[in-house]
Amino acid sequence: MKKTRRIEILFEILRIIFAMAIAYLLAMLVLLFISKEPIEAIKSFAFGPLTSKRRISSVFELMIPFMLTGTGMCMMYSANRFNLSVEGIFLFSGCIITLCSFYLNLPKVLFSLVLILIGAVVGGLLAFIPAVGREKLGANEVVISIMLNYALLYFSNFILRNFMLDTSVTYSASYPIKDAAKLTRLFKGTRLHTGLFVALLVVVLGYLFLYKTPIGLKIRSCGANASFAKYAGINVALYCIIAQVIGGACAGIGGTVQILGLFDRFQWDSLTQYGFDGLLVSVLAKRNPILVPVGAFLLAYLRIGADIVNYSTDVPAEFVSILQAIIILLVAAQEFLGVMKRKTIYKAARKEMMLEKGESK
Amino acid sequence: MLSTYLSANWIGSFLYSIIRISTPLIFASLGACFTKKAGLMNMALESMMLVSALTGVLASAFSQNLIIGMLGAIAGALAVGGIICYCAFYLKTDLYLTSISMNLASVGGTVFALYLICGQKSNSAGILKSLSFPKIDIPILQDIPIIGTALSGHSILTYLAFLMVLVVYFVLNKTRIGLRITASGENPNAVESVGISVRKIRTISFLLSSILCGLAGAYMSMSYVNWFARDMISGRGFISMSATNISNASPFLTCLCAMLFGLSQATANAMQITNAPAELVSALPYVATIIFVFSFAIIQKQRAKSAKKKILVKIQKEQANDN
Repeated sequence: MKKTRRIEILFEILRIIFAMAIAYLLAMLVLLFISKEPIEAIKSFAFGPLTSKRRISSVFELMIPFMLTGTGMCMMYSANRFNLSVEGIFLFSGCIITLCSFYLNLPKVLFSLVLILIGAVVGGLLAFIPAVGREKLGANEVVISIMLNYALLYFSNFILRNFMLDTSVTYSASYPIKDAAKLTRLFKGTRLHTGLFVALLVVVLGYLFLYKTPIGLKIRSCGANASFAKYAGINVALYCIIAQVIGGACAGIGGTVQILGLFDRFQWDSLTQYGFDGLLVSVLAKRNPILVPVGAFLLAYLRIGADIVNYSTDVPAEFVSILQAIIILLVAAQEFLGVMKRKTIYKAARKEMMLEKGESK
Repeated sequence: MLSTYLSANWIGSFLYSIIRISTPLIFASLGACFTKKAGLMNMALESMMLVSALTGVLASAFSQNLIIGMLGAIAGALAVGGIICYCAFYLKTDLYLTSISMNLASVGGTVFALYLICGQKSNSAGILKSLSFPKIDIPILQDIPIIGTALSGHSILTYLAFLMVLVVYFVLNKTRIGLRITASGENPNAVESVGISVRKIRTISFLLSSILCGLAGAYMSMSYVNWFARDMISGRGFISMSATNISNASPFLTCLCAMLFGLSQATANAMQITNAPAELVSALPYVATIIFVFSFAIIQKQRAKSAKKKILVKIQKEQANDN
């Protein structure tokens, strides 16, 4: 039995590595055909993110929102719910906390913490809408959450234009956020900020919650087999709602940290896509928050590589979105490498049986 | 102010805009009927429409032939549908996840393709000489005051959309494949037990769905506007999907629901000239969708509850009679 499980884990890891390798190979092929200077493009795509201190730090910087939305999606995905409101929450909580920051006056660290808390509460409340629609009324959570995203986008634009628009700058942005609210930068010359620790803390807490507490176990059983959970006496609706609300809170923290860490003003006027990136990260992390940093790193590396290709050569960064889809599909495909996996398990089992036979003789 | 809204001309053109906006929703939601009947939800309507909008424009621009343009659009949607079927039914990925990742890939992928072909990322207007479907004036009808302005002068695809309601009804209820699709949605084990592959039926339902989405995409880029723009579907696929869900995949109700969503969008557009805040007006269709989905779910739940009650009362009566 133990051997089978070990083989299964091995194949999970192999599948992720293969998926990334195939995606990278495809990317190279695309670059080779499209670019006028293919070698330069391939080089900057594969190793570009490592070439300077600034670029390395921007990979880590990008990991912060990925880790937070990724942990949020892990929660929802563990309960097998595709509550995609993470996308809208990320944007909207950023907007709300900017608005709040104008009315509050607190000392430095406390200010950020209070705003993060507000962001989490806003996120949780918003994720509650599709969750309750799904669990109590049977309405599809995907539809509601996606409609909610668009609605939140326009609400946030409304708040920006009507309550905090700074007319002294040429682009549409809020008044500058107070310095006391902002997160501190870690190193001089880079934009990496203390949000990294917030993100890591959320990841660890998320892991402990999902894998080391009874509530987490119940959430995971609801996701793995809802009917089984129901017959085991678990209140499926309640635990699925809890999972989604906590997931929403993580996304709310994400939006807050991103605004406080990187921006001087609130200026998002379209969806940030960090929510869908979170889904991607949670698929790469196999729904386990502790693997989220790994998934976030892989994705951030891919993105920064594509960005470098975008501005140093003639290839647009959008080609990455196709790669992402390929990675998701290959990682999620149960039958990818399935034949090989079954053969290996079969072989191991037969070996074990032979051994047992030998011992009994 | 009010009088401008009540003139016959305005009402006529308002009704016209409802039909114009509803057309892609009708196509796509009818497409979703096939998969819904097969027991699956097609969340990739969005990507099917987006890809077909692009391939339609490309095919019509390079061939200068409208039929080839339409076939190109359908082929684009079929390609997306085919990939999803292969991944979900043969490689055993999660269907939702596959559809969502296809949606993501199509947003970036179409921009990428557009950039390679046109050299810019926003739209194909003025660069690709793509064609558009002709508008048809209906001879006698167009002279009637309000109804004439509302119903006449639409793109040929709009009339096709309404025709498709009947076609989908016919296919689902009167043909062998339609009945098999319904059966595999209601009881896949029973279908499997008589030797029909559920996997195959579901694949067919997805491909049928793709064809209709292809028409929706063709309408978007060759009638609604005459170019391809990035992200031009912007949630229409999901709105169509909720129309199908609310109406429980009956083609006539689905068409009606799609038009209801069209109405809310048209209202939002009409309100844009008043001094209502533009952002809130833009949010209206999406908020309306959420409210519709919620209220229909409540109604359905109530209906199920009362049906359950009826059966309970019946059983109790029978027991009383037996005693």
